[in-house]
Amino acid sequence: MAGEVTIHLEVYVPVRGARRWAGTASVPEGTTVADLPALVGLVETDVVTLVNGRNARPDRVLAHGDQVAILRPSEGG
Amino acid sequence: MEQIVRIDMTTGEARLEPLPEAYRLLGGRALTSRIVADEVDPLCDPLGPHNRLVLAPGLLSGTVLSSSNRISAGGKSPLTGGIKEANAGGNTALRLAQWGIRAVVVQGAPQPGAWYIAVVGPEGCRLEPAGDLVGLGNYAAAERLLARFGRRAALALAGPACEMRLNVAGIANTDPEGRPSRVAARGGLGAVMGAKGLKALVVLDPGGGAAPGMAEPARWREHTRPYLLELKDSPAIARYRNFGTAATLELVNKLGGLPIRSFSRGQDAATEAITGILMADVIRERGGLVSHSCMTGCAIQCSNTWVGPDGREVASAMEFETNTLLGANLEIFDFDAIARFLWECNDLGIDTIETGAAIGVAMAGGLLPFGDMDGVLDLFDQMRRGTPVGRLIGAGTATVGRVLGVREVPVVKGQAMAAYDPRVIKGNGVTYATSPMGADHTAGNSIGARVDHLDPAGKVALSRELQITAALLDSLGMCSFSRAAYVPHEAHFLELIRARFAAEVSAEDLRTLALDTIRIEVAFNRRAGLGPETDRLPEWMREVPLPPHNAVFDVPQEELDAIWQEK
Repeated sequence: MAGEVTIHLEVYVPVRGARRWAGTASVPEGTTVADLPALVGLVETDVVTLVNGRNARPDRVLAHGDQVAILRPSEGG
Repeated sequence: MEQIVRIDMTTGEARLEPLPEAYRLLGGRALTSRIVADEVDPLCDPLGPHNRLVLAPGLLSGTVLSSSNRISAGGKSPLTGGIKEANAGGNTALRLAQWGIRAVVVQGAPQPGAWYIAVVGPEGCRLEPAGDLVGLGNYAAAERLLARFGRRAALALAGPACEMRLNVAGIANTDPEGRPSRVAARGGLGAVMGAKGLKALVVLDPGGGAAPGMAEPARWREHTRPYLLELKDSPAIARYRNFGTAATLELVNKLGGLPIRSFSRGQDAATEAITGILMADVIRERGGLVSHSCMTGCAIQCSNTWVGPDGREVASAMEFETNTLLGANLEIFDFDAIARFLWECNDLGIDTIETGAAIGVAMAGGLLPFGDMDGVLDLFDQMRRGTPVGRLIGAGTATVGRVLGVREVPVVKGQAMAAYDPRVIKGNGVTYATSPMGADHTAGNSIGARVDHLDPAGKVALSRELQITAALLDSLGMCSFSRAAYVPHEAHFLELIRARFAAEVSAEDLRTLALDTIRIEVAFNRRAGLGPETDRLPEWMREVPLPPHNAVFDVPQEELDAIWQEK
């Protein structure tokens, strides 16, 4: 669809009533990493967003085919 | 008056000494490393009479202030050949500090075959023959000792692996319910305890909620409040309560830096079976504890208990490092199997990281197939029986690699890396290479930093700051997971030190304390023969790419070499 980009999205925090979510998502062209939690409807907003397996800057604009993962920040011990 | 317990295993004498003035504001790692540097010949045999085992509560230990009772163990490591500090939760530090004991120094060596327990109580410290405790696993030994000395006593135990002086051996401390599951695991300090013939340190409960001498109790109470409120409100702390450390697995897997199949891949869809999210669900369904305090008063509660399908407790605590090194790294994606391995590790008294990495290299070398759960259980059985193969695993990852002809061995200074492949999590690669502790993520873990972990730029500066903060928290006795609440409230911690010791200490003083501690440790290592050439990741990690990013470790060596030069 014009004006949208398609990404592959994996969400490891509760979203839309589910504990986890994964699939293909269309987002408006120009959507940034910082826009994504609100766009997806996350309640938990202290998250780490990876694009293609790398920590992404908040102003990173999503591109067609990006592999995006939203996860909890966490530290092992 | 605050004191040091000195136990001479050669003469069988234990005595109390006044704490030297120079040590008054040292605790935890700062104190263990200082005593080791002052008293131990860096060239000594780690398992001989000239090495010393030092146990020290943190500077702020001794009350039920959340997360303030880590026990530091220090000595010359039989695994790295350098200085080592490993710390753990449990109640050992709390009880020692309640008696006014700032350190326990164990020196000398007993007659061959002689084993003792040391009991700290109202009369000071006494040694007793260990009798029929010798040979017992940590769980059985803990039950006997707690039945005799009361369930509120704290124990630091030398398990069967310590008795065999295996390099993977750690010192197991009991949690508030008496589980010997809080292990000062890294660097083989349990083997040093075994070499001293000390089966257990028993620290009685002084009763009445005793607290160490406090210069200004009202000031202490006032300045604990902001920290406690932060613990209550922080989302980072809430995550520890909800998921422990286990949810780090999905993060590191998606980053492509999770050790899989002995550090040969960084990501695998099969890890979906051992995510932290799933673990919390299963624990809840089966009736285990999703959150649990490993030390009295801890509000972070990252610990948990894993129960079997029948609802019976198997082991505590299932953590990210354990799930990865004893799970994904062995291609065993099964919580129930990992929990059985964890119980074995706790009972034998061994480091889950070193053991998991060693078994991974054994699998890479063809000793057993990847994914072979029964084979792993057999290896634990062989360690318990002390067979040559069991002792091979117990000698640690580097030795297994040498014996089996495996080049791709994930160690620095002979110590196995934790569950972050440094080719991707490059800040941790810097820590592994430059920490005087060897490859030890607890010396400065960068996974929480919101940075591009794959980019080598800036990782030396990042690791340096994290290593300084870690050394500071290790010295205060604070759990590293309190960092999120400590950092914004450091000013209050300065007030806590003032309240406790009537001493004016600035933030700069604490930073100096931490840096001095690291520099003392580096200097010890240099005198022990660990030169700058050992501050390296293994050559293969700069050459063999890690899928899926096909990354290698590429932080310039000159940057690593300069890490401790600036002020």
